[in-house]
Amino acid sequence: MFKNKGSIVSWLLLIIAAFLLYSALYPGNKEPKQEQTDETIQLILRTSKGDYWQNVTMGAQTAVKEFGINLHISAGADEGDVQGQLQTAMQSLEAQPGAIVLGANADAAFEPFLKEAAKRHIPVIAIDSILTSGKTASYVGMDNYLAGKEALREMAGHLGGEGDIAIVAFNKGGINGALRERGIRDAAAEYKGVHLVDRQTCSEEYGACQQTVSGILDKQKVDGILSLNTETSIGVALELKRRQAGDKIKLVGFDSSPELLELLQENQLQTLIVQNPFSMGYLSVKHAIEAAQGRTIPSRVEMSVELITKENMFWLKNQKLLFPVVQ
Amino acid sequence: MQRRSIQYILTVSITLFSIFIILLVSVVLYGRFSATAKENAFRNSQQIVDQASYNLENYVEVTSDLFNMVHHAIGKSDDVSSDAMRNQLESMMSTRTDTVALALFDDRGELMLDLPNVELKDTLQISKEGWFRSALDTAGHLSISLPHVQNLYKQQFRWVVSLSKSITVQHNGKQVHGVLLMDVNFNTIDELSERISLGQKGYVYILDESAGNIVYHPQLELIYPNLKEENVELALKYTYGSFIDESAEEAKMISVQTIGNVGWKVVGVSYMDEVMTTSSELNRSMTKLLIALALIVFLLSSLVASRISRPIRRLELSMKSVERGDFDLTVSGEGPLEIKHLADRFNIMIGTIKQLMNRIVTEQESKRKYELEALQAQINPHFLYNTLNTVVRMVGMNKNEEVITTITALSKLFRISIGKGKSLITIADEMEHARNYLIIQQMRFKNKFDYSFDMQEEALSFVTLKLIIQPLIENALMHGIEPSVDKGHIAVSVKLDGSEVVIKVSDNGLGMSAEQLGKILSGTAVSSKGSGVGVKNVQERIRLYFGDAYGLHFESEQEVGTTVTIRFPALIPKQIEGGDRS
Repeated sequence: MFKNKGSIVSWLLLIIAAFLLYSALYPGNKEPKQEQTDETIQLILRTSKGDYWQNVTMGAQTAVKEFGINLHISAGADEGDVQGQLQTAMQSLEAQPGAIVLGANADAAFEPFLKEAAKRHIPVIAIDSILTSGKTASYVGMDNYLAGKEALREMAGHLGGEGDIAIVAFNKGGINGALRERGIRDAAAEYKGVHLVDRQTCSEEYGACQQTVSGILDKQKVDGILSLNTETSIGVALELKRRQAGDKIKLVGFDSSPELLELLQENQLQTLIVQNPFSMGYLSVKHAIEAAQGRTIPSRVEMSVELITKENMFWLKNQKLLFPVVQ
Repeated sequence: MQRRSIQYILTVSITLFSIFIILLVSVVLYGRFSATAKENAFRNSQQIVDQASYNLENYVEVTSDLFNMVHHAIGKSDDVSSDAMRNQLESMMSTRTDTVALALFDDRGELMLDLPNVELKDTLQISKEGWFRSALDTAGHLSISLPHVQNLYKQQFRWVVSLSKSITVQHNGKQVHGVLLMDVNFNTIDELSERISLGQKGYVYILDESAGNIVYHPQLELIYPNLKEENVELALKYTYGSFIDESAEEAKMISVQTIGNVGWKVVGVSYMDEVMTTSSELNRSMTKLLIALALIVFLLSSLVASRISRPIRRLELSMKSVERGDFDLTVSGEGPLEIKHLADRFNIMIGTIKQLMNRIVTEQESKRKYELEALQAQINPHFLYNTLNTVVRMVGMNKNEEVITTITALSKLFRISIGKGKSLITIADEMEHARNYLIIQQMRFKNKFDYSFDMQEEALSFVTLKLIIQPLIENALMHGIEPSVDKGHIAVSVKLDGSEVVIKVSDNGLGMSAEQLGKILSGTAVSSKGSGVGVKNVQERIRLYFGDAYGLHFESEQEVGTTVTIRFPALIPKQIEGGDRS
């Protein structure tokens, strides 16, 4: 009996040895490269237009190169296209990506999408604007509320702590716009000499926006204007330039574009609050991969903002931020 | 200490030894392999970086040449604002697609010439720009700027590398000092650098030697906000070569090459885990190989060990059955030569033991036989009958004195010969026995002979086999004295000869022929009238007890007499106590 057992064990050991020998001498290609994951990440942008979202895409592509994943990118037609983007998002779920990175156009409208994603156990990472209507794995972006406060403090600095201020909001500003505005209002309460005297909305039509701004300026004395995104900032700055009021009426805006930078150089506006969309794209995809692999990721990744003025815009570290594309 | 089996010792020691050797060899080989792999990786990476830096250097040189040509052409021109000049410059610029703009300023920063004709920014003050000042200050020096966003032109923010140099030109008939500026699209350098691949993750970046600024980096956007870090210190420290950077989480290999004409450094960064894939693969293979070999060695050594130990164990089993008394077994010597030898020897040993045992058995049997005979002889009825007849006759003759002597002697004779059932008695007792026998026989034969004893006092305390002298006396009486007409004499002597006892019984009777002697010794001539204990019995008993070296020796001469000598070792009673097996 024992002898039988012994010989069975011997044979077993021999077979194991033979197998090991074989796999040692012919290290098969079945072993996957450790760094290469076959994760698929879906990136849904608010819009494919504009430097901002192109930079997000570039950052995401950098992460793709580094981590070796598949990235699918889709985008809404424009920033107001909530239904179109929602539809795209819902469709992307069908492909069962490892994780979804979403720069949503709206908050509440995406509730069914977030529910569906949770049901399929696909982590969703919100970028640029936070989503409160459902469960997200993480939010990667700046704190718009704090940025709003920062904008007002900057404005107060330009005005010497005293003056009347108007807000020009973007009509499709969404969650971010609302948060920025709330930050501005909360910060304004801290300054006794600063008063918010008017608030208007603009579209991306510069002409129409100029007229709106003109209305504001005609209605009352205004010392400073806070514009909440690129388009409104351009509209306001153009109107100030037209009136040659750039020196008298201070302007603090959000985000940047070559046009705005040129206007900044011409002193039509004083400060731009600029995010780093490249980092946002990179980090969101990086965390999306981690989430897809089941690792825990921080629930909130805050992106720092830079305050760009005429003086520091050509600093080495800001050049790449403001002019990301080499052309 | 617990004893281990041969199989265990062999298996464990061979396996351990082999594993040790295999490990040693693997470590050495692995070290060599990985060193070679590393060298190769170093060389590869360095070659790529060298190639890249060569291309860049070449590019910078060609661009500088173009600048110098333009510089030369402008310097020679009679009037820089002339159309001819402009056409010439345009055609020169068109040879290269990456030249973005050309501008000529006078020493106050006023634009004299620009190509293509793009409006300058209103807010610009050229005379305050750093490059303009340094070009005027260091005349004749071509300075090549870092890649930067050009801030001169309206509606344009382009990434360029600017080449600038002071120049003296003819403008409106006057000689004017100024600065020539040429912008080259950074795109070419960007693309050139981006195309270089160092593995899946590796990349190349360009470093400005003087200030340590990063000229080009594929992830520059991540480095400024500190999302990524680049260890430029290491790259700055060396002008050329490949190094391993272990400061970060992942070990990286860094290859550096300096571009001489601009003071830039091309730095290649490859990830060690990618570069050393062959090494880690080798590592895995080696481990598997090691385990496989260890298993095989273990199996083989246990096989060999069992080959050796199994015959030994079989031999042991055979010995066990011999231990139990089975002497008829022959052990089979299967297995190695040594085992066969061992088995053969064992078989021979068993044979010898068997032989010895047989001898002991026969010896014991003979001893018993002879002792029984001697015992029987003690009460030989013939002897008793003759003696009693003599006594009766004496009584009839009223020889009371003699009757008493005879009966006393008889009683003593029996007392000694019966003894306490021992086969060994002291020589003194044996002598007493012989004397009593002689007394009785003298009564019987009516002084037909007389006798004498010559005894050495020291010999008397030694032991002897009982009933060995009496048969010899009987023999002397029967064959020597009785047939003789003369009065006979029997002499008995005892003495020590070294460590031996020598007893002699001699008579002066007829003597014996050789034929008679032979008969006596073979035991065929046993007198029915005698005690019945033959001479042969005496001889055999002495030999059985004391060995073949001892026994009887006859010397006989016709008409002269016979002397029988008994020789045996002198032993004190204690010495033979254990040996007395009867």
